[in-house]
Amino acid sequence: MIEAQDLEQTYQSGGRPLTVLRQINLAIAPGEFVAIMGPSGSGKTTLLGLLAGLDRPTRGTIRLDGEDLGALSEDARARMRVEKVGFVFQTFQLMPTLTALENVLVPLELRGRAAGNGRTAEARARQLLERVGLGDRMDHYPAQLSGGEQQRVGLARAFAAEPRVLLADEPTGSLDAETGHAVIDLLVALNRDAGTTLVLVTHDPALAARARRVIRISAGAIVSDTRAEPA
Amino acid sequence: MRAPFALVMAWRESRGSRRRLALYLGAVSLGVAALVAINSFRADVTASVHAQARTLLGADLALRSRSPFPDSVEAVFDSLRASGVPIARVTSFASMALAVRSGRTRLVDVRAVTEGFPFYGTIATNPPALWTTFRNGPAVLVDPAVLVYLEAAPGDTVQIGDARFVITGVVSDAPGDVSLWSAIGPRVYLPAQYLGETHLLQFGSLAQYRAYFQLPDAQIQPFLNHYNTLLQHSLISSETVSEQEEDLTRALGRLARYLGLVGLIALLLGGLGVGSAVNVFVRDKLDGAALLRCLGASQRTVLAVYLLQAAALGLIGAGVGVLLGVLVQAALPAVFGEFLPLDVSVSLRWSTMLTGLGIGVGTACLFALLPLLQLREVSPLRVLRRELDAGPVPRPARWWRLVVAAMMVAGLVALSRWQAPRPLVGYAFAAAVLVTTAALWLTAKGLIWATRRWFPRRASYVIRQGIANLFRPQNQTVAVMLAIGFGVFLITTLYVVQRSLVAQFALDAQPDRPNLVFFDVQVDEKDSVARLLDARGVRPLDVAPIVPARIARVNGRPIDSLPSDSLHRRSPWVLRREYRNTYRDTLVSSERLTAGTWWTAARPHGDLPRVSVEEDIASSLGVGLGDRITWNVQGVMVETRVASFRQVSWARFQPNFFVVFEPGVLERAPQTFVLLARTTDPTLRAELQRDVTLSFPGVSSLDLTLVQRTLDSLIAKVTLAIRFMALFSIGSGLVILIGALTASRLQRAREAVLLKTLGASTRQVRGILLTEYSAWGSLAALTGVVLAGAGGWAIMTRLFELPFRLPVLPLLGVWLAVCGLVVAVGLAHSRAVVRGTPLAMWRALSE
Repeated sequence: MIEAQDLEQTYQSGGRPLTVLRQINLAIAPGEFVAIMGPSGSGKTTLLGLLAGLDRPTRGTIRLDGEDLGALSEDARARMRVEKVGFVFQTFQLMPTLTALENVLVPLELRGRAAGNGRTAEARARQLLERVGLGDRMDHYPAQLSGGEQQRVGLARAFAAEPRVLLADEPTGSLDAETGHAVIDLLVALNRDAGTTLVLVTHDPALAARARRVIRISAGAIVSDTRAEPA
Repeated sequence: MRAPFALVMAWRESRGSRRRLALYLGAVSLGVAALVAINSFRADVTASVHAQARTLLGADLALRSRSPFPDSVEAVFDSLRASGVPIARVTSFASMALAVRSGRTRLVDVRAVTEGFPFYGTIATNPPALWTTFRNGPAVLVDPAVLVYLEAAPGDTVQIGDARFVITGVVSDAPGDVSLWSAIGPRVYLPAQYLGETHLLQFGSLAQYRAYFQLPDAQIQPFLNHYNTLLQHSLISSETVSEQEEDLTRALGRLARYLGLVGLIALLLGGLGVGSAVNVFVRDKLDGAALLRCLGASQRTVLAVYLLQAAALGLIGAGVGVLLGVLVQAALPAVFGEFLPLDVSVSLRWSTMLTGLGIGVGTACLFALLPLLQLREVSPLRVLRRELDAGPVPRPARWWRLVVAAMMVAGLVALSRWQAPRPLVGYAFAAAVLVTTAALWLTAKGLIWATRRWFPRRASYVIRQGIANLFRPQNQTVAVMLAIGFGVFLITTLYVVQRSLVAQFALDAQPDRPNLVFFDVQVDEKDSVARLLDARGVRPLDVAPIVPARIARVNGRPIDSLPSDSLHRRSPWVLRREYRNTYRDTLVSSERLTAGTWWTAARPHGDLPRVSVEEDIASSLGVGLGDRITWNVQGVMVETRVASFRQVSWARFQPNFFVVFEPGVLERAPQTFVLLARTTDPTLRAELQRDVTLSFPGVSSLDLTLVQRTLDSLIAKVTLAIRFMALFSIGSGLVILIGALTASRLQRAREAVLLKTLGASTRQVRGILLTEYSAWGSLAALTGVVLAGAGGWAIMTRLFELPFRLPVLPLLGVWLAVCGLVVAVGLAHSRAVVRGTPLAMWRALSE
């Protein structure tokens, strides 16, 4: 599903080049659940961004569903994301001017009129919000929702367009432990139902423990890649 | 200890936001610049008038009369002359000038001058130094405009009345000259000794007789006191250098003060910008304020820390404004030059600059205070219980907000009172600003409500998202609508009024309006002039008799005993002036009966003749229906009764009269006639004027389309001056727009990068921004345009009492232009938001 070869990412920082990622090689199969772990500043979020085509790597190639992201333009990569990638963010990242329901609809609407305006799209969004337990809060604005509720809207949005790949960046990082667990249960359950490839960045060992495969990064390089035996 | 701590903290605290707050400086700068410029200019004018007062009058004393000085007064002049006092005379009247070579005619302002005038200052001519020598023969000096109108050149012959003169040159600069006047009555100066040969000053002509004296200052007042009774009885008014200076200073000062009020609006809008910028600033500072409180600072210290920052920034902003104002001040003489009878020399006015600085800081602090109150209320607990999203903004205590609001209103009233020419005007202005702001606010709220109510739910996502962005948390939509709307309102109202006025004077578009007028037509010339017109196929539209008369008695009391009447505060001018009355049996289209009855039935035998009086002059005269007015018609006393009052629309180009007699009273009195005609052919109009002038040199004629054009340009110049000041408000509005864009830039960037991450294309992101800015611009422009329509209607129908037509297309143009401007500024401001890869932007945002 995702393949990265000889990935390297360098930024200019204070006039000097700063290498954030180096020599990254990995392959993620369809339906896999992978956790990427590492300390702050180790480059894990950058890796996640590159896998989603949010930028071109300084060196190396990334293939998503067989397509070379480096060969695609900015807008073509965006098109790729809207078709195949779902996102969950640490700080939820909901549009403050849209209701919960409208936020879930955004990925569908970005696909174009047919997908976004159809009654089926709205029915799907409603169904997803019911699934995450927000059936009675669909018309609330983000500011009217608690952190846990906002992240559940974020989950519903991530699954709305039926993505092949779901990328999550510290999805519980802004939540208390109890709420965080509930959100992860939901994420795992939704993923199981949809058969999505799930890549999760976290430094929470408890969360990582639920993944079948854990990739550890330190100072921009992969230091270990372990698979748990199927339970 | 507390104050220094607040000061030090204020400085340290401002580190993070100095650059962002720089914009809020710009908000007050423009307003301060407008005030400093116009008020310094006022001081410049006052100083220049003082320096040039003697030159402006041309003498130490001038006496003025509407009729030739009577023998008793001439005897006084003779004795003065005998005692060595230099005296000069100027007689001025309107007449036709005919260029013999080109055959062109034009109504001109003839000034017959004797030797010696002016005693002070010089009249510059081209070729130079002609003023002292041209009087030696039958020659004239003319305004440059005369040459243009007559298609003549120096050396050509011009006929005035029955006399011919050689044009020797042009007057390039005369003291006391308002260049605007020369468009209405271009001047022709001729030697007084040739005045008689023109045979022009006959019965019924309007002329002004002036005598100029060179007298030591100490002798002027005794002279005037000594001859007071004689001068009053002869209806002679006097003018001294100090009176002239006082009048000019007052008139020009008033003009500058009114324009200053327009500038004040820019300052108030700047205040609004400050308030709105500080409101956003406060949200970022809540944590800082909570931390200060947590560490033990009092509420007062916290407020002081942030208020000091506002004051310091206000000081810098006002300083920038003062510098800008000085630059504008230097440009003002060029903007207002055509209204000014003197050369204004520009100099730095320290007190005005300091006042501007103070007003700028005061405005910034006052408008910053209301949002800053929120910081005062911050709970120290906030530091420990920090929510993820900034959390609710605390609401300051109600009475605190009331106190600040009262201070703001008091500040507005005080500022307006200080800037206005009269206290009452100041209060009215402050009230008008409050009402307009309230109306704009209501319109803005209404438009926002309507947008939400009729939200285009079925439109594409890009459009829906763009419009939804107007309502994002902490949005400044209303502030921007108010600021831009106020500027648009000012400029558009001016434009609407100007357009309506110009349309009102457009003679060609109105088939029943005369466009050619002949006046000073004597009784024996009336039929011949009419025949002359008729021969060319032009029939007179109207022939109105004019009978000059003065009031002798009101209700049987001689007018000399009336001014002391304390019940009616009549002005001597209204009682003593010469009235040019007419008689007819019908009302004309430009007048309307407001009280009493018109003479439809014959006068009962034995009753007094009836007159109808214009309502304003009637109230100045203090006469009511049924009162008796006795007229002195060239020596014959005619007693009349006031039968009705009329309202007259003076703005129409028609002969209008203060007093109309019923027919059958004045037919045998000495009189002249006004003939009105209409032809759309400009060549024919010129030829008719030439033919009439050739056959009847005493008859003056005026092509009203020329007057119309002059009025159009006068209106254009007046509105230009106001518009110049109103531009500062537009500038303030733009600064506020940019401030609002800057304030929401971070939010906008977050939303854009989120959408891109979710898979939005550059085009979609740009489309959302475009929609948002278009909606913003549309609503702001609409707010101003809607009110401008209402304001224009009110000014036209209530103030000018003229019909009003909404100029739909131009308003649409204004709306589009403002939209375009807001969209352009917005897109230019968000280039970075649209460009860049999402990952780079995430990194930038998290820094």
